[in-house]
Amino acid sequence: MTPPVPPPGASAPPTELVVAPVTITPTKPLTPTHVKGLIWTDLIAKATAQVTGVRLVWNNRMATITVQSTAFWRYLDVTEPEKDWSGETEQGIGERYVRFHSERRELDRRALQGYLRRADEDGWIHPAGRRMLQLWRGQLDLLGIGDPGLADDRPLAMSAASLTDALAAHGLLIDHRRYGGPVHLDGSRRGLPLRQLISGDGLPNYLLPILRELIPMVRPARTFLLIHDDGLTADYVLLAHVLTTFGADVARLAISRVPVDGAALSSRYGGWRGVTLTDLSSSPGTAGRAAYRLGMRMYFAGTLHRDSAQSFRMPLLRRCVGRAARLLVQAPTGSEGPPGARLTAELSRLQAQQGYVDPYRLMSSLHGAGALPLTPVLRAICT
Amino acid sequence: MSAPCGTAMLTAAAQARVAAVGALPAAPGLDVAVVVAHLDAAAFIRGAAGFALAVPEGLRDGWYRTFTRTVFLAGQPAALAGRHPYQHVTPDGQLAWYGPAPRRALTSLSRLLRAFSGPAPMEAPAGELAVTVPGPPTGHHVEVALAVGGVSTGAYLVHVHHLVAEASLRGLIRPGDTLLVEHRPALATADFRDALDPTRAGSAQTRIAPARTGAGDLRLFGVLTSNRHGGDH
Repeated sequence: MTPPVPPPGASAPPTELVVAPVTITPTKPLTPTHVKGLIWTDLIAKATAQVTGVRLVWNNRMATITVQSTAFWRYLDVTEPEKDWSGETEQGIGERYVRFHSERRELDRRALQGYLRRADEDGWIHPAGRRMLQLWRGQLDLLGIGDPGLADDRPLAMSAASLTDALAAHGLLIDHRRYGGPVHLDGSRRGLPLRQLISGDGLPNYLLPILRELIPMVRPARTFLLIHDDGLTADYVLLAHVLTTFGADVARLAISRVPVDGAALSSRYGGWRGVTLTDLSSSPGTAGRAAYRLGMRMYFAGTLHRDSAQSFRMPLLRRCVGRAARLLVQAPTGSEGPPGARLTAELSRLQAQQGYVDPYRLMSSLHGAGALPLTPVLRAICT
Repeated sequence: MSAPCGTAMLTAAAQARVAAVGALPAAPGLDVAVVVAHLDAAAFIRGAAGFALAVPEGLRDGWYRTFTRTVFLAGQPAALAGRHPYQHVTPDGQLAWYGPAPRRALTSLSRLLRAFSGPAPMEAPAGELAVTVPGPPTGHHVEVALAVGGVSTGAYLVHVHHLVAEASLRGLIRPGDTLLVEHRPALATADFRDALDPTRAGSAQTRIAPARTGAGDLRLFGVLTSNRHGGDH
């Protein structure tokens, strides 16, 4: 994917698409819903980079400075304090995550505050979280998604206190901490319901680290593309409103979940056995790595459109991988394909109104009449 | 005959309030919503009186019948002005009043906002507050004593709003009056025998509610006395 944020002052192209995918806490295996989001994000970043500047936002701390992550890690420390996580499987950690959510237990708020502080100030990640990131990295590498920054650590761009000050200055905050109450994001001026940002106990929700990273990135000639599960649309409409109030140009892309056996559940409920990214990549077959990569993209971006409600279908994925293998064999080699300028023009035609190259249209354009030839540049984007 | 004990006095005064509301002619119950951005005690008390005194005649009984039921919401009045015009607002724009209205008329406002949550102890201003009610000055003074010991900010809003709103609807507070407000850790029933006496309730308003100690105990949270006689309790 595109490199991480360059140092301030580095010259930027006149227009830049800032691609900000929804955060995923490193507490569970990657499920078909995650894979769809990651593939869409990767295709958007790589293909759009052919027509305009692209910057991908990824900072592990956006996912680790959350109650979702730290409450689970606290649970692991209480239930298995001596456990060595460095060799644990993603199934093993993921099953504990499901069990943690199925057991309703009182949150130890003081302990959580300590975990959140370490995650925020020191970039601390629980060994089980580090192990999960390591396993994800291997799988994403196999899928050709490279490393969006899973191994990097840097502080969020803005402190929580500076963020709440800035939100208050823009009339977007209701801060009732002095009364022992919560802090709300206030988009009521646009008819958007209040959304709690920090609980009365001082615990932040997942929107806080996202805003801490994104708001300092607002500047002219940049467009933000927020990519999220369609189940989070209300939160993301509010996020877009907040960024817009800070002067940003914002587009949203809501992507539907991929149901497994008809159930589009959050991964905290499990139900992903046999369909995690590791399961998909290790599914028996004769396809080579490039066919796996292209076939996964043809399935998750070219068969499943952005609003698709279709359940995950392994036979269809296999068929996509088979078709990908044939396409790769037929592909032109060397410089036989259209020159770069022509590919840029072709990709420009596939841009959605919001400026990103539409992965569904891109994958659809690889076959049928007038199909785009799989030139080396296009092949690099799709594999 | 010995003087009635504290609990008996509080029970009798609370029952007198219930009986008075029950004696009103039947009317559909109406609610009020208060949107709170920031709380200033003096602005809140002045606003509550100013709002209640401006409630149109035709809506007064409906609100009084629900014991001046009021919901407190976290929000910014200025942000809402376009979609939800208020009936009354404090000069600093930090508190605004909506209604009285049937509950369903306030639903969209309630859904847009969140219930005010203020579990921390009320930070009461030190010293006596002189709060002038909007209107041409009357020179009339109304004494208000409020308990704040162990009272959360959220509970303070509820107690004080009932006390001031009901006293305003009953005519114990009039436009241009001055409220002399004193915040105390606790209000001892023995200090307010007159105000609690049901036969003298015509010139007093009390706020009595279950104490946090539970066990059915009642506590005196507020007393308002006026030398002007109000309507029947």
